[in-house]
Amino acid sequence: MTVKRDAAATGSKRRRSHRSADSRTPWPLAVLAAVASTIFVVPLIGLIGSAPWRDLPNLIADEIVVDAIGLSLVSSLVAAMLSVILGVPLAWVLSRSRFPGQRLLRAVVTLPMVLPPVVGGAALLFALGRRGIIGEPLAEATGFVLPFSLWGVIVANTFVAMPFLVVTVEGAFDSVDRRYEAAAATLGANRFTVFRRISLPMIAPSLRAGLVLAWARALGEFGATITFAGNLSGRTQTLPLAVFVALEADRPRALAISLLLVVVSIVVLVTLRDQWWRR
Amino acid sequence: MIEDHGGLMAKIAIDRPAQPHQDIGFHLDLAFSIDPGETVALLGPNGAGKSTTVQLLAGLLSLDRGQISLGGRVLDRAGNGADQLFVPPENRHIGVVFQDYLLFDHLSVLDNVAFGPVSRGTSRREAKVSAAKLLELVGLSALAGSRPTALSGGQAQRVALARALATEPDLLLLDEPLSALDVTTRVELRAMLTAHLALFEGPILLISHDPAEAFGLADRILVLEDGRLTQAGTVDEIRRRPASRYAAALTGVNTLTGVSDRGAITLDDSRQHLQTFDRTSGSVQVTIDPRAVAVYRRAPEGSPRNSWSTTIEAIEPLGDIMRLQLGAPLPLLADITPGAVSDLSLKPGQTVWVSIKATEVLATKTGDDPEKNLDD
Repeated sequence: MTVKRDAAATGSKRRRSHRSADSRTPWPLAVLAAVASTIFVVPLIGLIGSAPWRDLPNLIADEIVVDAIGLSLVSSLVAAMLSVILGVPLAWVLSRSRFPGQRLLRAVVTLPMVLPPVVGGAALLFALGRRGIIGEPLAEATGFVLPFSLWGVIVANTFVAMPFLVVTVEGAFDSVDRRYEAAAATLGANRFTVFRRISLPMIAPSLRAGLVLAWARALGEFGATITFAGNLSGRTQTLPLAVFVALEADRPRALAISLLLVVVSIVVLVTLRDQWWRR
Repeated sequence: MIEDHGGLMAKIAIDRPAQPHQDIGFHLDLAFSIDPGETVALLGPNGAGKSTTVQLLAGLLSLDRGQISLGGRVLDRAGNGADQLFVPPENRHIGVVFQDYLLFDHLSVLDNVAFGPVSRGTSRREAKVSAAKLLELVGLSALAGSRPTALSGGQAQRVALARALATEPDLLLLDEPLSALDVTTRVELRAMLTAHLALFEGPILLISHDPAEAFGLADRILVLEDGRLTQAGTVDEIRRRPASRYAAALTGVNTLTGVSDRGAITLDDSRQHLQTFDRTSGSVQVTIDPRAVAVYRRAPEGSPRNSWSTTIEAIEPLGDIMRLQLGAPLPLLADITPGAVSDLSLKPGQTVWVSIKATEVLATKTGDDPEKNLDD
C-alpha cells in the first residue's frame, strides 16, 4: 500500500514539474473546451439551484414517487439480471463461435444502442403487442399480454440495456489469453467447465462493468418503456416517466425525482471508476 | 503398424501453405517414439516447430497427416471419413507444463493443483487432499493458500509441475520448463526437476532451445530444425557426430568442411591438412570434439599426424572446464581442465602447439549431410 502511494506521489510530483513544458493549452482549444464544460455543468446547476430542498423528503415520500421508485428498482434490477443470464452466453457465442450470419447477428444485437428508444419500443409493440406477430398468438394461447404490464417494462428495459453488457463482455472474451483455457483443457476440463471456472472468472471485472452499465441504462430507460409499456402510475410508471409527467403538473416533484436520479448516477460512476474509467 | 508399447508413438505432419503476408509456408514433419520412463528432449532453434509439436500432442491442434498414439490408444489420426480420429485435449491424459506456467491467477495455489482432478470428477475434498500432498512433495505446502501472482518464477514452475502431475497423466510435456528463470534458480530447479522426473513412470517429452537444459535432463535428444528432425540420439552421440551446424554449435563441437583423399583431408577454408582414420574419399564434413584437442607448450614428441602451432585468442570458463579459442591457421575450440591452464600458464595471445589424434577426427561424407537435404 505504502509503496503504491509513494509511487503515485512521485508520479504526481513529476507531472507537476513538467507542467510548464507540456500543459499550456492553445487558446482555441481552451475556449471550446470551456463551452463544452458549460453544456454539462449548467444543467446540473439549474437542477441543484431550483431544487426544493426543504420539501424534498415529503416530495420523495409521495405515494406516486415511492411507487415509481419501487417499479424502477424492480424492473431495472430484473432487466440487469436477465441481461447477465442471457447476455453472457450471447457474448461468448459472438466472441468464440463461428457461424454464418454472425456479423449480422452482432449488428442486430448492438442496434438498440444507436436506435432511438421510441423506435425500439414501437418494434417491440409490433412484435409482442396484443396485435403483434408473436403477441397475438401468445395472448390467444395463454391470455398473457406483455404491453402495459410490469413484464412489458422489464422487456423494454432488457431490450435497451443488454447490448451494453454484451458489447462489454464480448470484448473481454476476445481479449482473454486463450492459452489459459488451453491449459485448463489439458488438465481435463471440458468446454463448459473451462467457461465456468476459467473464462468467466478471468473476465469478472468486465462483467461487473457491463452489469452496472446495463443496470444504469435500464434505470434511465424512457422511450422504449413509454411506447411499449405505457405510462400507468403504479403499474408501469418508472422514475423517468414520473419526471416527465411531473414536469407538466408538479415541477417540485419533477425536480426531486431528477435529483434522486442524479445521485444514483453519480454513485454508479464512482462504482465504475476503478473498472471502467481507469486509464 | 504401431505396436502397443505403453509409450508415445508420434508421426506428426502439419502443412500450412504460404499466406499472402508470409513469404513462406510452414511444414512440420517428424516421427518419434518415447518409452515409458524415458525422457526425450526435442531441441531446436526458435521457429523450428517445437511449440506446434506440443500443441499437436496436447490436442490443441489437429494433424494434417500422421498419427499420435499413447499407450496403444490413438489420440489423433489424420485421414478421411471413418479412419479419422481426434481425441480432444480434455480426454488425452497428457500433463503439460507450459513455458509461462499459465497458472490460474483467480485460484489459490492449492486450487490450481486440484483443478485437474476436480475437472475429471474427483470430489473437491479428495482433490484438495491429494493436491496438498503434491505441494508438499515440491516443497511448497506453506504457499498453498497464496495466489499465483505472489510466487517467484521458481515457485510458479514447481506449482505448474505439481498441477500437471496431479492429473496422473500418461505423458508429461515440459515446454521450456526452465527458460523463464534466472540462472541461479535454474540450477536449483534442474536438480529438483531431475528428481521428480525420475519418479514419473510415463514417457516425458522436454521441449527446449537450451542445450544445457536438454542435455542435463534427457536420456535422448531429438534435434528439430525447420520442421524436420535432423538428428536423434543420445547426448554423447550428438556431441561426437553432430549432423548439422546447429547441433554442432549446441555442443561446441568443431565443424569443418573439406575434401578427403582416402583419409587425407584438405580443409576448404584454411587449406590445412588433417589426417583421419576413415578412408573414404570425397567432400566431407569434419567434426572434432573440443575435448579431443590437446594443447602443449612445445612441439609434442612422437608423431601425432595432426599437429601445428597456433595462438590462443581467448580463454573462457565453461562450467568445470576451460574453453580455449585457437586462432590461425585453423580456428578451433579446445576444452581443457583449469589445472592444465594454470600448469601450462596459458594466456590469451600465447603461442602453443595443438595436436589431434587421427582417431578423433570424424569425417562424414557430405552427400549424407542432413543439412543439405533440408534445402530441397
